Amino acid sequence: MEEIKEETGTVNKGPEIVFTNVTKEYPNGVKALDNVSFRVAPGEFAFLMGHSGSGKSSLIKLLMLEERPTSGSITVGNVDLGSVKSSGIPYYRRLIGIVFQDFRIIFSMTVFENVAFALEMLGESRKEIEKQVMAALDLVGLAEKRNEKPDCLSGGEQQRVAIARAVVNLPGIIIADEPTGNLDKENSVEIMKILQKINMMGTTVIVATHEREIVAETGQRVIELNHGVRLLGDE
Amino acid sequence: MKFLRICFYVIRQSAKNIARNFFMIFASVVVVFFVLLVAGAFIETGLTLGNAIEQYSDRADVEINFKTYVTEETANEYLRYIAADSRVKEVKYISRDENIERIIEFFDEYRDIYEGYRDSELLGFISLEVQLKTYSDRESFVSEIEAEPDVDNVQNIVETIEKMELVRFWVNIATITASVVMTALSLLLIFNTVKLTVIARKKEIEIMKYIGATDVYIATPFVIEGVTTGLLGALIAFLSLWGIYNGVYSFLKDLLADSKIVPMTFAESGGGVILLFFLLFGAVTGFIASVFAAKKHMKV
Repeated sequence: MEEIKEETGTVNKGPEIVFTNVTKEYPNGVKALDNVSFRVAPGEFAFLMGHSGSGKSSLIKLLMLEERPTSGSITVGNVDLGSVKSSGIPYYRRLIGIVFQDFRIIFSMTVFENVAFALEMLGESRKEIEKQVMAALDLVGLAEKRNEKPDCLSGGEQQRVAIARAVVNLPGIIIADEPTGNLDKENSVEIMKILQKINMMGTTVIVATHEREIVAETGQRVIELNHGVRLLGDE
Repeated sequence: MKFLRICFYVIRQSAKNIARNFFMIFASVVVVFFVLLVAGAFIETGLTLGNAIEQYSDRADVEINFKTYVTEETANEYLRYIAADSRVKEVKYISRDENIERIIEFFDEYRDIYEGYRDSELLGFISLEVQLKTYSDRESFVSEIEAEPDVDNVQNIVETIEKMELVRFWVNIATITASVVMTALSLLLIFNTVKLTVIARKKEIEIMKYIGATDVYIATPFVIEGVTTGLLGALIAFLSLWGIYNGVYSFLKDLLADSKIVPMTFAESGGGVILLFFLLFGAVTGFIASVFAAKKHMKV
């Protein structure tokens, strides 16, 4: 455990992510990723593009250490994910903020509590929690709605709560899995602007999406996957 | 400091869980209560029988009580006759005065009334306490003595003890069986209660896992919930049993004119050891059931 803490402790803001010949084959024989290699530079913004079944979700699961690759290696900063033991996974995940298509916020909690949740777990003081949560809510433009319950918010606002929760403990990487999938155009643009703002602060951002329009509007780097094989996205 | 804050946060979460699942927890508490009530009743009966056996064990194998008209001389003839019997190991002569003293001591609270009858022939009788060489001779010996015209009654203590030992044996078997079945029932119910809580909070657990919560951190509120359920059930069961047994004990004491009835463990000792046993049982059952439920259903 300590070993992992030490290892992950060396990963600072915006670490580099390197996939080297990564293959992921599930027990049912489905090959989700086939010999995929790419590099995301420290503090870079990259889109992970591809249709449904292209391997985006598997790639994210590998990055979150929900799954292990069948072969190949993944490094985040100077951490080889293959060397992270099960007991070290929670500590590794604290370096990553994750945003989902379906927001995954807790409806019984207020906006503030949803964001504070991540810091309470780390044993931060009330004062520190208040300060960091308000900074995160300011960043996503929801400071005014801190005491609202999520069901009083629009879809776009709920996704912004999820983003605030992802960034509140200042992770080095933000991974967003189809963050605009459940939103209209206007809200999607808003969410992308927030993610770009976070990236400007030095955080490495990876956004998995199948919406070409959004990708084209932002003009950021694209890593395209098709049936588990990388097609585009030179460094 | 951070660790303490995490502990407080986890305890707060546990309290919220308990408040949120009050009815489910109440059902589990009721089951634990019944489990311990039934098991506790058996245990207490076994212990009370043990006390009774201990009291009887100090006495002679057979007590022969003569009719009140029997004189010291006649009683001594019987003593010599019995002492010469090859089945007898030892005979002890209990005089009229000693017997009266025993009666007065037995009804200690009414000593004054009985003191007035110290010279009454109705209370004064001579006894012989007989220790036999082997228990197998007991029945033949007792029936022979009972046939004597001067003998009023014969107390066959060994037989009484044997009967009580047999009852205690079956009570112990029943205690073990009831404890095993009821423990399994408690485990199952607490397991299901915690399982339902975990399932209800699956989304929350999933989020916690993604933001880096450890399994111990996630599981602790559920374990606290399980242990609390077990402890509450144990405490209520103990208080109920304690009340029931004290009531029964007082009732018997009044009924038997405050004579020296067999002491009940609850009433005599205040039940400290039993309370400890109940609480330990509740805590361990709650802990095991909730750890398994949390572990099994926490994977996201």
